[in-house]
Amino acid sequence: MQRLSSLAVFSCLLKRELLLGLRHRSELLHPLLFFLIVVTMFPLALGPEPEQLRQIAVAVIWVAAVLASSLSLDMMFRSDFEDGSLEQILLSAQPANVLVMAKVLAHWLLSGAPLIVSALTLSYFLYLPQSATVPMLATLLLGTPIFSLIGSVATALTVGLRGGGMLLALLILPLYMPLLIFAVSAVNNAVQGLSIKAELYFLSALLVLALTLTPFATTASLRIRLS
Amino acid sequence: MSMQVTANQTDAGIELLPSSLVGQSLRCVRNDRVLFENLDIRLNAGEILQIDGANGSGKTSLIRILSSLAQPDEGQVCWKGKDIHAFRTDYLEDLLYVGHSNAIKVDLSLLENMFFARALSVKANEQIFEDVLHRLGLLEHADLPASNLSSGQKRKLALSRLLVCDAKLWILDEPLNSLDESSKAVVTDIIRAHIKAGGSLVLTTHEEITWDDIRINRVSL
Repeated sequence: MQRLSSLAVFSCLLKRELLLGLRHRSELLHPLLFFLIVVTMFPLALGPEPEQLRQIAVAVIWVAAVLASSLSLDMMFRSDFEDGSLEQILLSAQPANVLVMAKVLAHWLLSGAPLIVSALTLSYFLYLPQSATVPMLATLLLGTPIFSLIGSVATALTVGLRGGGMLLALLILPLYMPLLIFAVSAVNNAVQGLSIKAELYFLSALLVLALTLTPFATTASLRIRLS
Repeated sequence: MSMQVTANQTDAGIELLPSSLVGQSLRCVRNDRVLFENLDIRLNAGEILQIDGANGSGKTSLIRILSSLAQPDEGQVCWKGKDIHAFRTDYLEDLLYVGHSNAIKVDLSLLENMFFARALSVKANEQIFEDVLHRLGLLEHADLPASNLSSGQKRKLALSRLLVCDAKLWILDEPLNSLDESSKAVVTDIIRAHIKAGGSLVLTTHEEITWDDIRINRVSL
């Protein structure tokens, strides 16, 4: 009889989620395509003037990222709920918080990371100054994991509910607003040559807070949904 | 509602054997309908608890309460004298649950499904997966996606957890559903070996299970 460590189980579950994600690419592509289409609509609607696009670039990218991210949240626990895997996860003697974290990390790797790459590419087409590229990358690197972490709580509360997708969006979008405000402010400050330290500290603090608290909240929410 | 119970005796005075599952005064209400109340159950090592009842009578609700997935509206479930919610980790180390759903990922192969199922178990048997699949008649599909399996084969894959995970208490919800006669015989053999080795089993099934040398407690809802 072998006894597996929590870290080994975390790695196994992460590997399983990545495997499933890669074998189900269409689900991954939908939020990414949504993001690309939303961002592309703004130059079509406003016209190709570089100055105008430059002014709205940060806001457009971040709002589109928030919306695309909320679309992708639904897939975090849905299939596990439907096929009974969620019961197995919650009935594992391994710490459920650790297992939930593996799923959240997999979600970020499969949806958040591609979003960052796309956002940086699209910022070029929206004439975002080069001086803003690194701050944009920093805010996305801090912000997209927060999307997944906070989103996991709301997703856990709504998994399996009829009309849960709309409820999820209504629950989650207000929670993303502070993140949106500070991230856009950071990049705009960078464009104007101002310091962005305060905003980055705030986003970092938010990430640490989410990392600390959301695994417990998500696990508790999942237990409530399954009971 | 955690009631501290001594090692060998509950507050209600019921004497416990080392591996006994005891449910006391259980009450379950769903959608304003009382499914069961004042229900007492008891299961010792080497015994089976079979839950009978018509569709919708609360069999699955009772199974979920006994597995700690749900809380009873009243009453308490203890494993080895300890409340299963207050001492959840201890309980889950001894528990193997196969529910109504198979918990199979159809995009993964059979071997991958077994690998990840075993990973979730704290105590895993060092059984060779191919041997388990051979015993269940699934070896030829080992590397194929589980989506290729029939419903009976998927059920057998779900039940492969019985062989790759090590647990004293098995809780199985309709384990023989969708299985053909030869597969039922294989699964009942596995169950019998578990009980003979001192394990315990709670199950719901519409099948008649009778073994002269194994005590089967029945609960009718």
